Order: sequence, then structure tokens, then C-alpha cells
Amino acid sequence: MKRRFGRTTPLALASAFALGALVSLDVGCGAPPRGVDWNGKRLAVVDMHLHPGDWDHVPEDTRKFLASRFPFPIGLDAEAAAKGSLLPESILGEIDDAGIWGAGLFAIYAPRTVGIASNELVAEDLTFAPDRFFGLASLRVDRWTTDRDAELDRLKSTLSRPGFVGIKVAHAHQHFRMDDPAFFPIYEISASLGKPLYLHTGTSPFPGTSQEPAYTDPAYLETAIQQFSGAKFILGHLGYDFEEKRHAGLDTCIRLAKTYSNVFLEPSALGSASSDPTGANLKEAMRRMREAGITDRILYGSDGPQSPGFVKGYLERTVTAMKETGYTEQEAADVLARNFARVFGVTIPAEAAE
Amino acid sequence: MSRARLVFAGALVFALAGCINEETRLYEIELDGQVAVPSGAPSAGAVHLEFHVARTFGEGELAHPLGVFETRTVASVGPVRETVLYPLDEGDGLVVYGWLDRDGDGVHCAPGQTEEPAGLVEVASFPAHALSFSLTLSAPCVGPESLYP
Amino acid sequence: MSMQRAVMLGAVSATIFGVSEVAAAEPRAPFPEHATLDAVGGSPAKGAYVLSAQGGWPFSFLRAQVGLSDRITLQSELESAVGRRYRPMLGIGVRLADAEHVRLTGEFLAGWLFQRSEEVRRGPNGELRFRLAIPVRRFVPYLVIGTRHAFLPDLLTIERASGTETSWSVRHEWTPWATLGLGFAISRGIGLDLGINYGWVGAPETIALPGVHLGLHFGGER
Repeated sequence: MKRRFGRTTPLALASAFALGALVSLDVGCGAPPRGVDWNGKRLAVVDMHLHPGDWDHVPEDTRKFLASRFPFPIGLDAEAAAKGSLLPESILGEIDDAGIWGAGLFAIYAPRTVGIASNELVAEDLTFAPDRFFGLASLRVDRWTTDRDAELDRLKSTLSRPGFVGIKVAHAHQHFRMDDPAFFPIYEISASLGKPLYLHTGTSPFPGTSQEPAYTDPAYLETAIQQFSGAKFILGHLGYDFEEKRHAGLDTCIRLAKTYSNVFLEPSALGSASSDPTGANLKEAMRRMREAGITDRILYGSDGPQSPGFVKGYLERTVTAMKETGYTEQEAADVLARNFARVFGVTIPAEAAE
Repeated sequence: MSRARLVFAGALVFALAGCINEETRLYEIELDGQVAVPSGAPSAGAVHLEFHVARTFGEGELAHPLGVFETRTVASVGPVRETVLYPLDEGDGLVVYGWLDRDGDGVHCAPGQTEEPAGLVEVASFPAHALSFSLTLSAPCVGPESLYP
Repeated sequence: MSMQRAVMLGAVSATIFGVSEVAAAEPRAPFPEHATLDAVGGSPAKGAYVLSAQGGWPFSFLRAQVGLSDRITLQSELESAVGRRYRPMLGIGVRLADAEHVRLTGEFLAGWLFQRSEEVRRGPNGELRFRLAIPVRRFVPYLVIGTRHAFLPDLLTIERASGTETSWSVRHEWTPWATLGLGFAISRGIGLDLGINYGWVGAPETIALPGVHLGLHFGGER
């Protein structure tokens, strides 16, 4: 009996060990844990830059452009592919898959370039996950001389709705100069209501974009940044040149962030596989911002959902870039979620990273 | 029937048969213009011109004012004669926007640099193959969006 | 499970197992020339024909081949990609090599491309491809390598004061193609095949996903 027991014990132990190993494997079943792993500790993540939308409100040239970027044969029915990925349930699925707790959903009114994702659409999408989705409202500026007051009123009204935490504008896509005082009332609303402003900076691959410096170079924002010190300016994409796939406004962005306490930086999209195939540009941006001592001003964003897996992939690329450029756990935690919480006045629950 | 007509007829048959990949229709316009600055204002420098569709077609909310289709640079203010090809399927109306490159850097009002005047005019009598316009550059550092509609 | 589905499943299982038993019991080359070999290896002999229907993602095909001589085949083909891109084609096949365990066919087809998507694509289309089949008893592993070229004519019309001027320009779409598959002869006249396809539409600027198809082939003598 003793001998038989002696024979079976190693077998039982091996079986138990194998079962344990199997259970510990991530075999893709069930929801992944929240947060990202940073040397054994999980850090909460908020992706502040995601686009819901409606394919019917994308202009024809841009639909063609987007269809051409999908792999064959997905591009043959780009509408079905895009519709699927722009739905709130899809966005929630993408962030869940990436371990991301919260997401900023952008409204946009750019009928000449990327199209329209209305405030109403975003408001509706926010109800899908009211604790985890945060809305950034926008406004039309293409008939500014005639519709300015009505648009500003609409923006104020939207910002008073539950879930809207900030404003999104894109001078290059919406065709208005960054330094034109006629549009400064937008920044005034941001300051008076305490709703931070997200601004696209840099060029854009979308057809119809105003690529001239006054619409893309963050240096043109300096007057407004000075004048509206109560408004928080989040400079999206770090002034990246998406046409040439190189840094163009990074120096300016870092200078503005170091000079003005109301400037924040967001490195979305520039590090994607298509915009930065080697990953060198994202790494350089993360390194230089850290060396400049402004990690408390970086807010993480991806510019997804784009395609299935993009949101997760971009987070992985960003975390890798931070690890390779010497970010501490504290700095990484700030970039991934805590800066967002501080800037937008959002509380991040403990379950965001477990 | 002339050769050109035959080609046109052939193209039409092809198009109707659904065999053409893409069709672009352009409308040639010879523009005779006068570009000026208010009297007494500095006038030295090249003038950068943008030719816009005044109203761009689009379904519902996607319709919008302006839409650049050609750009030119002329040596100075004064008389201008340009031939442009107007995209008939993109919109209607014709707008000319221009700005004076006073400091010669090719950039309109770079931060901290010289203030440079701009102007915009909607060309009357469009569509026609020969049109004239008069453009005064008097608004400093603004894009076409601040001047139209 | 409904009665109907159970009966269908039973029938399919019986067919597969039955076929396996028959295959095991048969001589090494039960029928040297059969529809499946003609379908996947190309170039049926004079007087023979084969009809193929291959359904899959993203490509599906309908193909008919008729042997005009022992070497030359007339064939027509309709290809569809997810119901949005069609290529009706007509062409000839030439038997380049034929032995007990090898058949090599060269095929040239020409036709028209119709693509209905955000970007409409229409234009003449041609393809040169080679089929290599290695028949072993009822099985026919095969490989197809091809190069496809579509020419997309764009029309430019300029209305001038002096009259309307039209001009054409042509864009080129290149699609390198490869299929790797396995055919199986159920009988001399009926067979199946399963294959993976890679059609790199718009190469080299694009990304394309691989696909898979399942085919049914039916053939005989005229």
C-alpha cells in the first residue's frame, strides 16, 4: 500500500501542477484583467481618445480613403466593417479586451474631412457605459460668421449634460485657424465651464484637410493658451506630421507644456503600425517628454477604435515605449490614468486595475 | 462627325454601359482679376490665391461652404489672369481667397512675424467660361472661413 | 436536433465513411482521368467537360471547361469576392505536361472586372495562371499560381469655351494569386476539393487576407 501510494503521489502532484498551469494560462476565455502589468503591479488605464460614429455621416472621399485602408476584402464592404467598430458596444468590447477601464468618446463636426459624429450620438453612446465613457462635445464652425452664437449655445448646453467632461476641436479637419480670435469664444467656454479642450495638432491623412501651419502647427495656439489660462489645452498627436510620418511639432508641444501650466499632451495615433512602423517615433516622443520633466502632463489616448485590436495594440506599444525609455511606475501610472483623472476631475475606482 | 465628337460619343456609350471606372468633369474658367490692398497699405510681396467651390455638395449635414480646388501664387498685387478647372461634381459657386506674403516666408502670419492681409470675393455670374473679379486684401491674418459666408 | 437534420447528418457521415471504405478497397488508380483532376488540374481531354462550383470566403467561383483537343481547353469562369466584386472571364487552357502523377496546365483568361464598393472599379481584366496537380489514387493535391491584371479606365471631361474635350487614363491593378488545395474524386464524374486561396488584390500597396473554398465538381463526356 505504501509502495503504491509512493508511486501515485508524484503522478497526482504532476497532474495537479499541470492543471494549475493550465488554469493560470490566458487561453482567451473570459474577460482579461483590468489595467496593464507594470513589473508585477497592475496600473489603471483610461484611453481618452476614441471615436464613435456613423458611416452615413462620413463624406464620400473619406469613405473611399478609409475603405482603401482596410485589408482586402474588408474594404469591399467598409460600411459594415466601420459600422460594427464604431458602435458603443464594440468600443466597450475593445477597451475590455485591452484591460482599459475608461474611454473618452469624441464628438466631431468636420463635414469636409472626417465627417460628423454629433453630440447627440455621443450622448446616446455615453448611456451605454455611463461610469466608464466620458464625452467630449464639439460644434460646427463652417458657418461661423452666421451661426456662431447658436453653435456656442449648443456647445454650452451639451456640456451641461451628464457624462460630458470636455470639448474636442480639430482645426485642420474643421478648417479654422488656431490663432483666429473669432474662434476664441470656444476657449472662453472651456475656461468658464472648467471643461478641458482637446485639440488635434499636426497634419492629417484625411482628404480635404487644411495642412497649412496655421491649422496644424501648435505654435499658433500660444496666443490662446496665454489668453485663456483657465482653460486646459490638451495638444493631441504632439503636432505629428502624419503625411511624412515624422515629428514636426514635438519641440513646440514640449516647450508649450513646460512654459504653461494649462498645457497637456496626448501621444495618440502617431505610434500606430501605419504611422510609425518601427515604433521609433513613439519611443522618441515618450523619451523626450520624460526628459523634459513633463510626465505629469501626458494623457494617454489611442485614436481608436480604427480596426479590431487597434486599441489594445496601441496600448501595448505605448507601454513598451515607456518601459524602454525608463518611466517609473509612478510616471506610467500618471500617464495611463491619473493625469486624466486630475485634468478632467474624474475618480478612478479601485477595480480599474485588478 | 468630328473626331472629338466621336470620342465623346464613344465615352458616353462606355459610361452608359457601366464600363468606366471613374469620371471627372471639369469646367474651364478664364479669370480676369484685380488684386489690391487698401490705399496706403504696404503692397510688396507675392500673392497666394486659393480658388474655392462656394458651396460643396454633400448629403444633408455634410454640405458645407467652401472647398479649395486650385491654388496659385502670383508675383504681386495688380491685374491677374488665371485659367482654372472647376470640379463640376463637387459643388457650385466660385470663391477666390488670397493673402499677401509681405515677409516672403510663404507662411500666412507665422507666429510673431509680420501681419499679412487677406481677402475673399465670391465671383458673380458663375458659371461662365470667362469671369472677372476684384479682390481687396484688407483683413489681417484670417483664413477664408472667417470671411465666407 | 430535428429529424430532418439528423437524417442529413447521417447521410453525410455515411457518404464520407462509405467513400473511405471504397477508396481503401480500390486499386491504385481507379480512374486515371476523372472530373476532379480535370477541375483542379485543368485541361480536360478532347470531348470531356467539367463544371465546378467553389464556394468560400472571400472568393467563390463558377467554372466550366470543355476539351477542344487533347491539349487545348475552352473555359469560362465567374469569380465573386463577397458578392461585391465580380470577374466574368473567358479563356483557354493548354496541357503543358501530363504523366501518371503530374498534370501541368497553363491558362490564359480575359474578361471584365466589376467592383461595387466605396471605390467603384471596372475595367478589362486578364489572368495568366498555371495549375499543377499530382493525382494519387482518388486524391489530387494541387497548386495554382497566377498573375492577374486589371486596367481601370478613368474618363476626364473638360468643358472649355471652345468645346468639350475628353481624355482617358488607365490605372493598373495587379493581383498575384496562389491556391493550394486537395481534390477528392467521389466517382469518375463527381468530386470535391478544399483549398486555401491568397489573392493579393492591389499588390503591393495593399494588405489582403487569405481565404478558403470548398468545391464541387461534376464532369463527363460531351
